[in-house]
Amino acid sequence: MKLSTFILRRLALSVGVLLGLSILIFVISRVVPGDPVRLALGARAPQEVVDNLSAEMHLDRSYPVQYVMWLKGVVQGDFGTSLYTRRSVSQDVRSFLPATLELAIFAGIMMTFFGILLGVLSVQKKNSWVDNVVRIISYLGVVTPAFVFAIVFVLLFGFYMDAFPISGRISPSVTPPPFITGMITVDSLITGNFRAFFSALTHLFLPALSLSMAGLSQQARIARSSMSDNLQKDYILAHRAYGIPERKIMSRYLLKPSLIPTVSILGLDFAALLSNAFLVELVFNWPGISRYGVNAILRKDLNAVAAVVMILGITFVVVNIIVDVVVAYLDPRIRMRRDRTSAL
Amino acid sequence: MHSDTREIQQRLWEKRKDNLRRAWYKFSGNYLSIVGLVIVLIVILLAIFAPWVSPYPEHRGAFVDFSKSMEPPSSEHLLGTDAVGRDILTRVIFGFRFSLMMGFVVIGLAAPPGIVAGLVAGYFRDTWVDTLIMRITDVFLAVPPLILAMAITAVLPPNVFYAMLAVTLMWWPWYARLVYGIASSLQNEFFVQAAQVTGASTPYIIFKEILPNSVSAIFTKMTLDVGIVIIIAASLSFVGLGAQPPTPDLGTMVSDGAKYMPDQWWMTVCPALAIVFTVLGFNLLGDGLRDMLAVEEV
Repeated sequence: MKLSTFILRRLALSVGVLLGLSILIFVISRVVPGDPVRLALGARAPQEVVDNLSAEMHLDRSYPVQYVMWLKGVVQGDFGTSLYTRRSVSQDVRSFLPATLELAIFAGIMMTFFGILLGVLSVQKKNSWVDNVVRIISYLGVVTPAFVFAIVFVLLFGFYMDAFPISGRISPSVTPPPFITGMITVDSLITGNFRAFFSALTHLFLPALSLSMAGLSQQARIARSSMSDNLQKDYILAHRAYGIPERKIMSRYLLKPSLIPTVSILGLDFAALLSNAFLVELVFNWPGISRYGVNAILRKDLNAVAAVVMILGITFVVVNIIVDVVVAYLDPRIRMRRDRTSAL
Repeated sequence: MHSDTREIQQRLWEKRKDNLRRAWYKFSGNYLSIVGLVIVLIVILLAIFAPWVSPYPEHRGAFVDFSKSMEPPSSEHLLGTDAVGRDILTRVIFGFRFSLMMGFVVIGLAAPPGIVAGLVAGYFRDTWVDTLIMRITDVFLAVPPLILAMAITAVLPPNVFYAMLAVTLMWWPWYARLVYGIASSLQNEFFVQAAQVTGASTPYIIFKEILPNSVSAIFTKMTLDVGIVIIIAASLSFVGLGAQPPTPDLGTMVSDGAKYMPDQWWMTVCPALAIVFTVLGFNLLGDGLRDMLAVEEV
């Protein structure tokens, strides 16, 4: 299969998945016991007002009609109005999503970099104390919930060592950059405001670290095992026999094929990042989409909940497409195989 | 003739005992697996006998004693007390009950439908049945589990029962995908073809021929998943969507205690470590089983 065919097939599959997801989310958000409008307006609101708002939000139409109208909106980027704030959900999302993306992207970078670094270190010093420390870290990363990491880091680095700020995105004394992408680090770089950049960066560090721990340990584990598998292969032996320096074998010939498994699991790790963001944002008072989503859930603000889940679903699907294409580019064997489980 | 079958049965039994002994030898070869087994046993026993082994059983619910509030760990209260004077060790032990119940119930409910879906889709590989089932699982797998569970709890009242329901609803596709992988590769094997030509019914082939070959993978995944579900359950209650106060729940205790950082650190750190301890046990045990049963897929 050519790479372009592979990408097209992959895109077609994703459209189907997203359509299914939209049906699933619609069903979830409309099976509420009780009248959501009544819930939003309170028990004392007159029936007439409730009926009017229902009609305004098309909640009085049949479900299939409602679904089609909702989907039409979603495709145009319109998720309806919030039952609670009466503002456009899309606008709310636009102001909260960048903070979460910034956090997730930083966590993703830390996860990949430190994860692979730890994996390489432990292979180079196999069975030494370095290797053992890496193994312990990678085990703790798997069994510890993200919010526990967040709390431990807040206690250690925030309170006791007082090394990093533990709340918000930027120091109150620093003027934040204007809203361009919504990611403070990027915006402050664009406007050349380095004070804001460094402030935002220190604020990002702890939340991003807590968020990255789970994926980081998985990356380290996979990098370690795939590198030590490949070390046994004949081509490495051949390189050694030719007298190629060990360092060069490591960096040039061992790393690239060994990284394919770590790249292909990035998509799943990113899913973990997105859902753990819900917990980490709460601990660090991070004004992102997850905190918005949790509030929407607690208030039963259905349009907002549907929007948050749909957007996270879309983000996840897009990231997975990118990961699959990168893996297919790195490893031609993937393109040839007709593997269904990799369809996602 | 009769004594023959008896002898065969006897030999089968011997063989089975022998296999068990070998399996145990393999399992116990890694001391970490034993550690995992011991942790899991400790947690299960503590949970079962919570009213008898916890120092202050009456502190499990809505108990208040402000004269003893926020005491640091001492010989009287090994893990300290919380904001209203309840013994944290007692509440952690009772918290194990909810965590374990969540883990066992969710996996127990989610695995069977997932396994059946995976078996059927795998057996009918490349037909419309396969496409239909696996595309539906794709949709479920397209959203991170925690987020989907949250969305489901959003439309339901926040309590333990609905939290379990929500996690169950999004957990079955993982089993479907695991079993699908195994079933679709076995579906062409000779023993399945042999059963087909001898006229065995489809349910017989699926459940008696293919299912037994996926049992070790399923079993290993279930053990590992109990840990993951405990994390998800704790996360749900941490956000406020799971167990509601005064239920002693580890996730709720961590989030309540977090308000008193850094001075009363034990209120949040102790239940947090209890979660890590439990999940660590199930993970070590699951890894041990995986090595013992030589499962690769999970």
